[in-house]
Amino acid sequence: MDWLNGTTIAMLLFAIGATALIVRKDLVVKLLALGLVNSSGILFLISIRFRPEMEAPILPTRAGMPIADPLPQALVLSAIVINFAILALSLVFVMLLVERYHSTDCGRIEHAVEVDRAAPESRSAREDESASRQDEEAR
Amino acid sequence: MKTLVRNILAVVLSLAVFGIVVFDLAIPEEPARVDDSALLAATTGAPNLVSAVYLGARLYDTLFEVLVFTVAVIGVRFYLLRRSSEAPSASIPESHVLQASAQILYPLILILGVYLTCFGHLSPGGGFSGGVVAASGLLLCVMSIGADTVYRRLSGAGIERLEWALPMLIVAACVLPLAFARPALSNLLPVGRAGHLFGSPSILLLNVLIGLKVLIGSWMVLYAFIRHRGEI
Repeated sequence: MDWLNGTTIAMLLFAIGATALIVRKDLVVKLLALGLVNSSGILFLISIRFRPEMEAPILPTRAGMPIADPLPQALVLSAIVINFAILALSLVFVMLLVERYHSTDCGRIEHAVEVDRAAPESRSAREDESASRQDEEAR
Repeated sequence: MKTLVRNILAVVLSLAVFGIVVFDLAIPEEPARVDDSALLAATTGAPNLVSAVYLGARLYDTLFEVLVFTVAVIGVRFYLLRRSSEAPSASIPESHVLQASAQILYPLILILGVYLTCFGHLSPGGGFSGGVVAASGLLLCVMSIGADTVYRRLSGAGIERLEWALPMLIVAACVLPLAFARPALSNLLPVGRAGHLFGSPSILLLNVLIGLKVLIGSWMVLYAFIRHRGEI
């Protein structure tokens, strides 16, 4: 089980996240996958400079023990905050898209945007139609 | 008048951030800031080496991290609060079990956030994590007494003005060492005895400022989402 360490788990998580990011159509699922990719990057950066016998980088440590490199940990802190910022902002944009196109499916939204671009005047009619469809679903 | 003041503040803020680079290059650097961990802990006075790195040796990164966070909060508020003024969403009442347990838990979690912020240079923690923990305490507070009550009390305390003042204060804490003929981004206050709460006052100051900034910013994001989607 020597191969099962933070690095390999991070690569596995990255693969899962990137696959979901490409394959799934739902924008919210895409955001969750983006979060997974981000976390896998964080796990990777932390684990490449860490061995199980190392101490946490807080002095004083036990004599003779090697301590983990604090630099990647400090840099990962920026990554976490920026991850939070990206997630919050893109969630807001997804909410705006849902308000306008009543769907989280990126294929449908792209189609609706193309329809809008082809015939801008038909938008209001389509919005009425989607609103009435939503009313029916609510009932 | 208000716009003028705001424009002047914006220009000063951006000039200060870029001035740090210029002055930091102009004034000769202290010898070997990061040589080994003991030296790093001695120059910053923080036994927690992660804090010593991100609030001491690499403070410039952290400065921009705070700015990125500020921009994200501004973006969320701009897009969400502008929309929600048109159609305020109805609030959904919480269950009694959740209300009662949130009421017990939120003071403890707020205190844990304050502890993590203040002892960030001695033990795991720091401004960013402490601020987020305190913000989750505020979220529990919202669950127990309602979002609008919390918002009224906090904005009554002038929390919004503080939110915009905090990035300025953080930049000021980074630039002020220049006034004492030391390089920008170095220790503002003298290093005390290592391993004590006031052993590295400048890191403590920055941690508290960043913790407040993250707490208020996360609360603003939370409140924008709550306003837009009803109670949690």
